[in-house]
Amino acid sequence: MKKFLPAILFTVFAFSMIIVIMGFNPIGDPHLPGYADFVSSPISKHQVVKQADSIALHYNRHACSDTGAMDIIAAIIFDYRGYDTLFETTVLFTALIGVLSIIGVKES
Amino acid sequence: MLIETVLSRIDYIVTVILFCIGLYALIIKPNLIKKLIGMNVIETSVYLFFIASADVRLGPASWQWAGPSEIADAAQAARVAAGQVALVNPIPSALILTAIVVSISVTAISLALSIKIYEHYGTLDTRKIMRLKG
Repeated sequence: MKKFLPAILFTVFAFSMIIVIMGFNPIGDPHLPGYADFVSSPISKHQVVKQADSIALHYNRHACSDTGAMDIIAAIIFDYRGYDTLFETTVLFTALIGVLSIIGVKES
Repeated sequence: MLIETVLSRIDYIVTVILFCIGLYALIIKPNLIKKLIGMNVIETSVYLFFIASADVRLGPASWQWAGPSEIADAAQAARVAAGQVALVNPIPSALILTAIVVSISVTAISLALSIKIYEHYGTLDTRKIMRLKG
């Protein structure tokens, strides 16, 4: 019994999370948060809906022509959020400093 | 009705199952390396959740659509520019690229600490480490 208790607990946890997820929008629904300005509801008819400007739609329409990148995600990573990506390297090198100070460099 | 509701959210459900598997490994498994594997499984489930939430049904992905000048189908480009076709939301993908770097950093620090723990205690079993006390 003691062996199966964690499995039962995690199953209950998973079911409670799945019950929460049942209230989300279905996958592929244009009413998702980035596309919250879509007006109509059926998935198959979103070719004809009107959409106001949200940030994702602005990126989708203007990213390639603004930055000259071939890919929208590359345009976001390296141009719109260039400082974010720059300081990501700070995180990475801080982790490198941490690893080297924990393990140490072997002197031969 | 319930089947349809479940199938339209199947990615989220897979995410929850992955999250619970990772949490199980993180809490129950005594081995430190297995705990770290569980942590990485949890991170992967969060990535999957974000990427699944970005999907727009029937919409092209961002790498399939490289701007009005590069696209083969000019009519599709005109429809995208007019806002009549929804592309896949690119922002969660960009955020997850950022999150992957953080998770790699956390994993590297944890593995380095695990190496030190193994050198000091001679084991990675947390039950034995708790018993040894220094």
